[in-house]
Amino acid sequence: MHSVPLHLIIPEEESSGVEQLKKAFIPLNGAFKLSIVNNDEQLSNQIETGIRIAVYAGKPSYLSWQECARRLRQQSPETIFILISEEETTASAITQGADLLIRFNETDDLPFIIGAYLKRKAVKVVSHSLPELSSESTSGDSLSQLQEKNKELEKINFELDRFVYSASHDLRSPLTSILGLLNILREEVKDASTTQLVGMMEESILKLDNTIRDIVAYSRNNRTDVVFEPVHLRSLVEEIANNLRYLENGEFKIQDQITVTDEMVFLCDRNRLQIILNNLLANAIRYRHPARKPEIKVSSTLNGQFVEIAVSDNGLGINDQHIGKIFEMFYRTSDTSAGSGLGLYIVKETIKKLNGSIEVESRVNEGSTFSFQLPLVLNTIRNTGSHE
Amino acid sequence: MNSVDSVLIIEDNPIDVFINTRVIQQSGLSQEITAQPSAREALLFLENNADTETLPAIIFLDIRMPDMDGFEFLEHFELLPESIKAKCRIVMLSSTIDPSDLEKARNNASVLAFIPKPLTRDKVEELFA
Repeated sequence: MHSVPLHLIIPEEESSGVEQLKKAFIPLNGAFKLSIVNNDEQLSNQIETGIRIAVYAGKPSYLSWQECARRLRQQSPETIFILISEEETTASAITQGADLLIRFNETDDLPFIIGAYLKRKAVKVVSHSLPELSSESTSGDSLSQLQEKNKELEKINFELDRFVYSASHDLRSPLTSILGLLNILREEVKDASTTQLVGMMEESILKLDNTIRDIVAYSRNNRTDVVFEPVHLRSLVEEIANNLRYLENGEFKIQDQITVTDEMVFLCDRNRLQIILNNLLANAIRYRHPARKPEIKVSSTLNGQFVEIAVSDNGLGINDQHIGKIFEMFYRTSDTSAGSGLGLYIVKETIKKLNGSIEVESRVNEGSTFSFQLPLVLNTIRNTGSHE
Repeated sequence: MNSVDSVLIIEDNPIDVFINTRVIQQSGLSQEITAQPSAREALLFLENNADTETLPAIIFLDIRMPDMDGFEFLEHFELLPESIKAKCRIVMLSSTIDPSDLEKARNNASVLAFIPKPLTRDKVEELFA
């Protein structure tokens, strides 16, 4: 965490737009110094004083947004650049240097959007905290009461988070000790029967460990805010593949079996997307076909206001009698299946929290494709967070 | 495997001390292994052994320990004389899945790496290859 005085700058020519933006920033007064820039000279002066956050709106004739972003970052690379535009898509905005894209009709939500963004980046606002409650909150409550309630909720959430992680740590540490001892046993006693027994013990322990991780993920999904940031799909998948190496059994390397078909960057809740993909990829490995190496393809398309991501495998496939039930809590296709019965339920719940949807197509002995859609629009997302 | 003269394990659980000791020996990282059951005793040990050969080149540090945890140890470690800090590199070792622990470990300049428990030969060999 670091504390910085924040400073907003708005290059904007149309006066009605300026008024609306000024109004949107009222809740942020005190935390930010607001400057409106009408020409190049003013911008240069402001840049010299150091700008932490810039909001670019309208179409000022003297400066394109790309150029504005470039000049701000030249002076201070940490500057957060927020673009208000109807023309750009999220992908075009982010690839050309914006951190966030906001539509003009969302300007009233700016304080919340900026608040969530700064929180994610661990930037601490000095003067007073940013509002995080929904704008639909009871109008009778004074701001200070709301802030009080907000603080209380934050404290409860923080403590629950600590509790969940402490409990999960205490449950996991004897398991990791046993895994460590089994590793030593395997090194020291090399006969076939011992190796087989050790393997089975490890499998049982990893199964229990997965259940603990699933419960932690589920509990976090219900409590924590949805926070958006640019996500590079390929890097995320590589990170997950690395964490799944424990599922390898010497026949293949997981990272060689997963292909990401395109270079996609989009705005998403990174932690939640990681939980979704982690579960889908782990399943694709776990339920691979015994006769062949797993081949897993992750593809993505931007489709208007949605990103659609598909994970397909060449594994066992899912029987028609099960396919309607796989997203149910604790549903398992057989007693011998490796999972806790929580994985796909968590996938579904996490996608629901993000206002998205998921579908599955499968053929027995050929493979399965899980495809899910997530909205890219910020106001839709904030509403999801505040209604539950 | 690049071996080092000596290694210190800071760990309150005797079973994990056993595992770490055995794995470090088997991997060939070091044959000279000391274990301290608490962060406080470890700090004392480092101070008492400044400028000696017993000063460890690598410290394996557990995170969750009673009294003083791994991150508090790191704060105190920062205040030790330069001669000690320059020689000891720290590897954090834990069963935690708390992302904030991982982030804190990653952002600490004294921490060479974070290894999820259990310590195994593969993990040691990968880090000190």
